[in-house]
Amino acid sequence: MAELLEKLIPNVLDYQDKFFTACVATLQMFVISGVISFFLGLIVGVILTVTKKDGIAENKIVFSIIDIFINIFRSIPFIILLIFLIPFTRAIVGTAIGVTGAIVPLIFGTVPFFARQVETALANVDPGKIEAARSMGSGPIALIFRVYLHEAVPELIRVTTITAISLVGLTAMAGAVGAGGLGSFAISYGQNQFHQDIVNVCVIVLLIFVCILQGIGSFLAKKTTNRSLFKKIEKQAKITENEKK
Amino acid sequence: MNTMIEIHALNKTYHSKSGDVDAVKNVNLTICEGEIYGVIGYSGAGKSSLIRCINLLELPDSGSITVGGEKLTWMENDTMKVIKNKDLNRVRRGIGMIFQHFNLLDRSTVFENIAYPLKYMGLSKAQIHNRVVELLELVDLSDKINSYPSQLSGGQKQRVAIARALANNPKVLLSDEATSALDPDATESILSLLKQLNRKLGITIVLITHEMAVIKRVCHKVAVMEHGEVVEEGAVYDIFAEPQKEITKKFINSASPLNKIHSLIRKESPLIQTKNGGLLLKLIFEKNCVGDALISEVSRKYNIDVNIVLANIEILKGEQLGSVIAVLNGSEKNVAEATEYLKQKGVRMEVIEHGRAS
Repeated sequence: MAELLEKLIPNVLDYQDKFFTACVATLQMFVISGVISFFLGLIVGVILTVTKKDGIAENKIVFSIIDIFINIFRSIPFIILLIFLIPFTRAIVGTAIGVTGAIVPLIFGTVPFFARQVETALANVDPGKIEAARSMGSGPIALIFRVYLHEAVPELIRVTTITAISLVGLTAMAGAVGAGGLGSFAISYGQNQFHQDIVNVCVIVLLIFVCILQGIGSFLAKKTTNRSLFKKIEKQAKITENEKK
Repeated sequence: MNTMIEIHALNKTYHSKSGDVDAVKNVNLTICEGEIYGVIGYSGAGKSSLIRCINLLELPDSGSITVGGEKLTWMENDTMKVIKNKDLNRVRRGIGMIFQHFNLLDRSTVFENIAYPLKYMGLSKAQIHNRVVELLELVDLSDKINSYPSQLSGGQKQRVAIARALANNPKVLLSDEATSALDPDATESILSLLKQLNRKLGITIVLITHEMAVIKRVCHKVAVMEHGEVVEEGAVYDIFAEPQKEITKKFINSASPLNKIHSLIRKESPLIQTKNGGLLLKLIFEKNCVGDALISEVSRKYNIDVNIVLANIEILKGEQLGSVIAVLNGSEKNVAEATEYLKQKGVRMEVIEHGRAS
């Protein structure tokens, strides 16, 4: 086994320690900026939903400001956003390099994207359900938590999966400006030193990671939709029907 | 009877780029406790906006609304004042509402849906559970407590919605086209459930519909809406017996088997041939004369032939309303005397066609 690996990926084994550090750094960037972006994006998405026209707390000014900010940050390519935010990052976390330095631009790159996705997910909640809840005396907070977020769970899981996968891509890109992680490992030890096996392994690791994310996301989305439950019951009904025949 | 809902000078206009639409125009309504009050109109007549004003899902532009003694909106020096949000949410808990598309939470079970309005009200889990079980018994759906809405039929979903609307013992139930998305059987069962709830709980029901059959089946009183205005209002029997407005007649005809006469006239059917001096008539027998054998009486007395083409008896709130379309043939004098006699006996009539010499 060891021999086989030695043959296939000699350089990865040479830089084993660096490779594992890179994996950990990528994971760190992903988890920290992911968790923060999830909550921020969810909050911003909810604010967009409730403040938009005919929303439950319509507010044109708040909506317009957030809307414009999202559009601005979404239209800047991430690689440029990274450089653009360097002074800002340095001002708030003290450094613009390493995992810490990467987290700020990663959040800026992810939150607007995720907030839009949340907005779309919540827009799919039937307005009739909101109306019914209002008729039962629910205020805005109850409407957000007990109707909007509650009914949109499968859709929110789906958009979270999409965002998480695109965040993996962003962490690799952050490597280009010295964030560490698999991205910079692939560039500095793979590409720059002509070690194709290093690049290949980085691709495989990221691929596996993305597959796991997608798998978990799809599974949870399915589990939380009652439609799939309904299908199961239908299937059962068909089976019993066939048995009768 | 005590007044439950009082609406005075209510106006609501929608502004859009293509122009303003007066959804509700100067509407005044008084609905008494324990009544089933129907509002009928074509789509776009403003009935949906009107019913949504009763629990302020729609905020009117002006006018006053009082429900169960609580003022929701009122006028002060030409400006409309609105109840505070906190109070509004309390008042709304006393007004149940059901919808055309049920609006149940799809990711919640029947139990959770009905428990929705009971949560955060200071009730214990056991109290909530008992109340939900009680409500499910009331709507006859006890075996579905752990089902999801997607596993229920339309009629069953509406029963769950009714149970949910009744959870906090409301005094008023608003029904927004609650049977419009249902098949005839489910419609019938939901309507009889509403009737039964009205009797059992004494709950006041306001329902809007575009079907006269629904009004006929359950309502005590009815208001007819057209272009945002209430054009006619009164007890269902009176409206059926003596509709004033063209639109009301149209709605009543739509629910009556007598409207076949129009196709007979169009086809110039031999059934309705009148001889010279004869008449094609619509006779309306109200409760005071519906039992008498008036038709055979005039036939004998005035020596005329009466041919009944179509006939129908409605039983509205236990009172009968008969209507007959008949051809009267005989000499002009006899026919005139006969119709005069019928009028004296309290029969109302509309001449549909005078006999022509053929």
